[in-house]
Amino acid sequence: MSKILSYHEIQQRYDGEWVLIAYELLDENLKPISGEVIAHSTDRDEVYADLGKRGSRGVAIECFAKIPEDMTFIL
Amino acid sequence: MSRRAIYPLEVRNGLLFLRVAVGDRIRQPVIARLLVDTGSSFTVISTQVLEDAGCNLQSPQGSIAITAASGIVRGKIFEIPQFSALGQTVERFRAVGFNLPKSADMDGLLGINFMRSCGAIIDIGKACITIPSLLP
Repeated sequence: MSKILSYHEIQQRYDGEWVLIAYELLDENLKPISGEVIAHSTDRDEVYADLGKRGSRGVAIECFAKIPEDMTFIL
Repeated sequence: MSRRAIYPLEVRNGLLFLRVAVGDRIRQPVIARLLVDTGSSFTVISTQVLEDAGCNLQSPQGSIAITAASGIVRGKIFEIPQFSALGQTVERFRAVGFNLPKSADMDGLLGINFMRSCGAIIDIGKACITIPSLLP
């Protein structure tokens, strides 16, 4: 049975993880307003691997992981 | 008379991110979060996201040398059936398929090619992108 959560609820529940959300609604900036979590993991690639579970549903990949304070990015 | 659309960016660790829609025109799209990167010539997206969008990873459109901070690597170019960001939708959008390190909390890079094509004006202080457009 699916459970629709708000973005805020998902963020709180899956703090520190990557999450795949089958979104119900998006705001004008493509941010999910609410949806069902269909995969979550601290490992990004495990969440990517579950993209096949979405069927025809729209999904958003969200990352609530914390970046270590001593990490910087030079791309 | 001009009209402008303003798109807020997400700020994390001082970096700017934008959500984009990647899809195959048949199913609802995947929303991915890309780093706004004016140092990237091309838009870069994780290969798994491209594959889900219908790109055949075994049949790239070509390859390209990428000068990255760590050296030169080769990336494969794919045509995404439909790519949407900043109020623009592009059919058969060309992007590089490349997996950034897992520690990077992003699905790819929004390159300067796309931002230039829609006349993006980046305001770092306000963390937003403005797209100017003329009224008919």
